[in-house]
Amino acid sequence: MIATATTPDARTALLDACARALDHPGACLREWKQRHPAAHVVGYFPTYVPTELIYACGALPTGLWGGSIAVSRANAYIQQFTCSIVRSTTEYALHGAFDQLDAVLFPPICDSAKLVASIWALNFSERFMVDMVTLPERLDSDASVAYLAAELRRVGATLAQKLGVTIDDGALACAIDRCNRLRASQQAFCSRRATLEATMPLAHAAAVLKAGTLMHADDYLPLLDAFLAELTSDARSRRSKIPVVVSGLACQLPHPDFLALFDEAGFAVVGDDLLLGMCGGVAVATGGDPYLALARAFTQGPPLATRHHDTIHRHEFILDQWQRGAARGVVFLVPKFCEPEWFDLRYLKAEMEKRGIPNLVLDFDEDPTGFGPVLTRLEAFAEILM
Amino acid sequence: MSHFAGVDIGSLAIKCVIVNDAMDIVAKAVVPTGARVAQAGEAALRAALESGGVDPVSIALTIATGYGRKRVAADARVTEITCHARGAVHLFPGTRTVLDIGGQDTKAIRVGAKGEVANFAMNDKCAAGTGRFLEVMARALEVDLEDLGPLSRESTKPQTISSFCTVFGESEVVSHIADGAEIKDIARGLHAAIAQRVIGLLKRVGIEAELTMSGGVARNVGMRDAIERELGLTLNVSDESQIIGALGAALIARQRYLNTGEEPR
Ligand code: SF4
Repeated sequence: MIATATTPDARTALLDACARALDHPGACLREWKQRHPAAHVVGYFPTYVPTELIYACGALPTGLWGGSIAVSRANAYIQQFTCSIVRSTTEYALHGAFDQLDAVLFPPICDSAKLVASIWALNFSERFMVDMVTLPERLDSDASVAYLAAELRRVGATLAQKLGVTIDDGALACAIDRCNRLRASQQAFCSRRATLEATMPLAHAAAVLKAGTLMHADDYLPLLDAFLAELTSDARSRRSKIPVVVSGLACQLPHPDFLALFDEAGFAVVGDDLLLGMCGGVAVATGGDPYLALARAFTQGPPLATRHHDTIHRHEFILDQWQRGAARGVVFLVPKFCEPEWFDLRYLKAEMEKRGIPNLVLDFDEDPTGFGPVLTRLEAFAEILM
Repeated sequence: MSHFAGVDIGSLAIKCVIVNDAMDIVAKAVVPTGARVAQAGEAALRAALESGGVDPVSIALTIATGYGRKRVAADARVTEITCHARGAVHLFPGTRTVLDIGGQDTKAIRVGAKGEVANFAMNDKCAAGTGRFLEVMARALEVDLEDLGPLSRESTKPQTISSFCTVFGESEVVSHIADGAEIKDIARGLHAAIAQRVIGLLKRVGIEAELTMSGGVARNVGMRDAIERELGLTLNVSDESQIIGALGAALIARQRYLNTGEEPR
């Protein structure tokens, strides 16, 4: 129905900064540390850790994403039938790629993440502090909120002590405000996905969101907001493209060349939940106990393969995107050996099939080669939907 | 009279089929793919034209399919999934499931009555459950690939090959040879191992009769026996099984030309 336009400057500035953050994370960190010599850097494993606590320590939160590294040394620690992100991040860590970090926080999103957290704690704690933010399983009880508030207080205090700072209420309020603004802008970006599609294909849109987990919000937000302010609709249509929704786990993304195949196969991605775990979530309330507010916001966040609600269901989000984008099909992107996502997939497919929604499952790892069969699958799916 | 060409660029062979307005196959050719795919694609088309005495000017539309479809000159490109489905339903109108075991990959396809694809699954990057697996094992057994199927029919004491993986499978074959097992019995075990693998793929799309087998491996009687034994149903297999993808491409070319009135080249 609509296509979009922004001045090339806002779009280019945003994409260039994001590409640099993704392609040269080490160099970007070094530059940031030069500009902020007294500040610290805290890495975090996807999907959820309270970045507010990291900002409140005056530190830069930076996501640990792994990548297309040939895994060899990590094989001595982690079995091969484990998802690629835990293997590649560990390989990077063994090569010293994270030695600039002062601390690393892990969420217990799955057995693999718990395993890698304990391997890192055993092997790397002389280089940086390793801690686990132990999240509650049940999300619908007041006891969970109270428990998580206490856990966040503990994590904040441990981190602050390690970094030699204190977290005062003012700093935490300021950090909460910053992260609320970041989430709001990223969600505005996501909710305009269908509009965005004409000028920004999936691979670039995913890069923009991913870069938001690497860059400091104060550097990233002005670029994103400038882009959003100039994003206007025009009358050009995407008539020749096939609208689809893409759904996948929020903790691992396929290689950009893999995501670019959606364009090559003739799809317009009008909705996705690819980075919902990192960028989704409700605003944290201000005023009152900030730890309780953070805990409450976590329990109200969107359902993910790694965060199940009893009353809000993941397929409802996909269906909503499907309806709003007038999509013709759904493509599930599932990391190889990812237990939470394969567990959800069966139910998600059943929900789609119940409604007669055509769907395709593509599995992936971080290997940057051999995309020919993926393109064939996507093109065959396009031929079904034509 | 107009003609329509389908060129299926497989990893080992390029298949070309030419059909006329009435959907009859008027010419076909199979040439090795080799390293120069574009030239081999042209050679396959030339060979088909010559074999059927078809005037090149009468070719109204050419569609390329197969893994190398983007590397040859054609009016349009369609995936091998869609083309195999179309070709299989043309030869066996009752087809609801297609199994294509090719040199490098294997596909299970569920189809509707008009040959449209309803669902499909493809094997992963590795050679397990493909023609390549058989090729490697034939070499390990020191028999010609073509003899592997007939040999397996003579088996009296089938051996078990438990590994799907080509590398581990080859080690198993070697250890069976060392234990003095007969080649015919090992061959039977190999076909059973692939059958189990491809049936897993078929189950992902749902098996509905009739099941038509396409691709070069369909010519292997040992493979067909193994699948039929496992599934308890009879497969549709045509003498044209190797060219079903190219046939589907040619039929889609015809359909597109007649529906859209695209101008001849
Ligand atoms: S990709 Fe899946 S298995 Fe791997 S860390 Fe993420 S949630 Fe866990």
